[in-house]
Amino acid sequence: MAQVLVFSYIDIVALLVGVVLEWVWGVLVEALQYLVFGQFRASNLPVGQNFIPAESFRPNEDQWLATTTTTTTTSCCSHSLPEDLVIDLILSRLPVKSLLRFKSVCKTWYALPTNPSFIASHLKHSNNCNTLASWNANIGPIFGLRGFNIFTLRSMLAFQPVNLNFGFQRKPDLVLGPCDGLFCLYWKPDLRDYPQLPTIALWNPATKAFSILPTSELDHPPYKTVDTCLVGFGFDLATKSTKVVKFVSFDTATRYGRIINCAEVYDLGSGSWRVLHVDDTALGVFDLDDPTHCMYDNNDGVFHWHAYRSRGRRVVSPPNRLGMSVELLVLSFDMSRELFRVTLMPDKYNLLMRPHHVEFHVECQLSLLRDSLAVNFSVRETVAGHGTVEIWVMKKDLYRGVMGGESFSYSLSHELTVELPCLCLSMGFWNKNDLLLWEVDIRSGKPFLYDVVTKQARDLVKASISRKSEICEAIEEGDYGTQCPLSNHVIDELIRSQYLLSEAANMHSDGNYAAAASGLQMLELAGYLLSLWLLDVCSAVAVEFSIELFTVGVSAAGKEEELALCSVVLLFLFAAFEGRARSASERFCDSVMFLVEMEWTLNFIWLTLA
Amino acid sequence: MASSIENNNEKLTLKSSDGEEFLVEKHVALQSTLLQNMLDSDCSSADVIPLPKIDARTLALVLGYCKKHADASSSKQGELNSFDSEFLKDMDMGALFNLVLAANFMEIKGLLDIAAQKIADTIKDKPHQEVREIFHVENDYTPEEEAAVREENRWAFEGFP
Repeated sequence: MAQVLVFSYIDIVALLVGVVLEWVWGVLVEALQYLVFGQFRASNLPVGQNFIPAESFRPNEDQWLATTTTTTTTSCCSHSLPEDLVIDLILSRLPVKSLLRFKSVCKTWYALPTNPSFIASHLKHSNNCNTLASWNANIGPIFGLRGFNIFTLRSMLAFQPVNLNFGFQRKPDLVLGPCDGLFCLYWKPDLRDYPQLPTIALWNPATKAFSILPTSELDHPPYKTVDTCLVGFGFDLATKSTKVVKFVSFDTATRYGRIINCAEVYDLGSGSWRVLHVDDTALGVFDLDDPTHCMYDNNDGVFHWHAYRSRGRRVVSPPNRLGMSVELLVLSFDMSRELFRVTLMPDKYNLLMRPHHVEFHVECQLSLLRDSLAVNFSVRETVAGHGTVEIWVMKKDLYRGVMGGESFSYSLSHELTVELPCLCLSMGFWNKNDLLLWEVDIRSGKPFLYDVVTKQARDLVKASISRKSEICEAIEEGDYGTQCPLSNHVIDELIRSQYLLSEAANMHSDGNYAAAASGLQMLELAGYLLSLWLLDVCSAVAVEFSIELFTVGVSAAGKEEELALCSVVLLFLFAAFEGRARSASERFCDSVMFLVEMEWTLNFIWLTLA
Repeated sequence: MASSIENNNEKLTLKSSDGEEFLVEKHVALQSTLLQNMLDSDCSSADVIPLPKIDARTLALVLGYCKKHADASSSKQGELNSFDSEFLKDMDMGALFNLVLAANFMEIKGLLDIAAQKIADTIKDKPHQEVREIFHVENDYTPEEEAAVREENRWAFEGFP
């Protein structure tokens, strides 16, 4: 390691000093030589340099003068870049917050954040591929595919828990995305609503823009009852436009109980819904209660749902166990061609999920594996509890070839079968080799990662400790602004709150903190103490004390203090990332569970995990 | 392909805007897509290639970058990354602009990326007035308009005067 450092140091000296100074020096020496000897010699630059002035180089005096003059002017003249380069190369690399601030620079810059080609170029640069996870008390964890600038580890402490209610009675029932920087939020209708179609909205957390999609023709259909409504959300790679698709099954409420399928697509570019033709009346869809029943493939711009079809004409809503005449399938919607496609699941799962197969419990999730859709069947023996995940991958060339719906064939191929280490549910692939599993435990289940190659289980939080050195380095360099997750704002807060530290010390010695402070103050104090401890400003005693404060503070604080509570939880998380304290990581898991248990309204706690 | 291996030790001559000539090994020059295309399209290596938009000082830096990246094996990615950050560390805005222009002209993607990223990192926390000066952008807002635009995105201005 030391050798590498020394080597690179020498290289740097050779290159920077060598290249710039020696070149200038060379010019001067040559100038002298020229004056003394009346002729030029090629300068001798250090061995290993990348350039050697040509041997044939014999400039006359005028050229030499010209060279020197230019050298002087380049070092002091004012420079500028053409506007297109500034926009394409530099502004497209800025965080969203800076971009919004720089709208104040001039009118051209004002228009940038809404310019589609600029957005595309910005997304290209911000494509850090950080896997995102977030907890939503309604639906459990939800997973995104692509990170944005504002959600990277570096700005973790700048995360704000987000209130997703947006004026509704409750949080959305489903959150899709992020895709193209946007999330699609979905509120199920209240039962008294007619005709019971969901409210769909788009939300850009970076710009804080929120808009509810307009009503469509299907909001005033000729049929009474909506059986189910699927929603998909993606990006049309051809027109570079965000689209939302709605697949609605209406119950015609006739004697035969026939289901009629309708679909509409919303194009963010045009701002309106269009009706699509769906001819497969045998197709049925599940309610989107489980977010692992749908998946967006960003590479192809195709949205997939777990669905079924009946072998006969008549479609019935499936009970938990499927009837004899039902086949499982993947329903896919191509965002560009606006076509639905059907891919049948392997037949053995149709059998396994039938009522008489009580010895197995089978669940199906959609996820992505190496940029392809993966269908994961969790198969568990009901009695022995022994479980496997059988992973099937959809072959792209095959489903691309299937147009319309007539000529479908099995296009899923068996990829691998994973023996599960304990009683757990598969949530899909977290990254290339890691399955995200959810431990099934009556008391407290928790998520963990399982490497299918090495068969090692890892804690979800500890999995990110590899990022630790990067953060520590940044703290040592004092480079909080760019490298470290602590924003300047937080640092200022910390410095301003130094006095709280002495106050805390007093309280700690008295042991009477509960009487001295409100729940909110205790939470804030716990947060400050943790921050200071993380910055090495105070001792490890502080962390014990902050845990005490946190525990007492939570019970005294009540629901209004969500923000303070969330920030403390995030600090615990940060401590866990840093690997400072094993207890911090456990504490974090407890805290998250606590929030989930309490059905916290500010339940959107973002984690970026490597 | 075979010819490029045979010609590995060949050198070519680049001429900066201010007349300085640089003798460059061919594999180093190939870091630049522009030069690569010129060589592919049967441009004799005996010719002097003029680079009228790039001064000698910038060209020297550019070639320093190319040399390092051409010589390093792919296994030394960590070393290259630390070279990249050291390479730009104390560079002023003017030098960075020149590098961006040169890398854009010579089509050296890696250098263009790191130089543009460096500029972006430098300006991202600066007040917009300062950014206006850095890029010589004319303020076409009336004071009222500017205040209104700022009000639209008030949260983005937290901590800014």
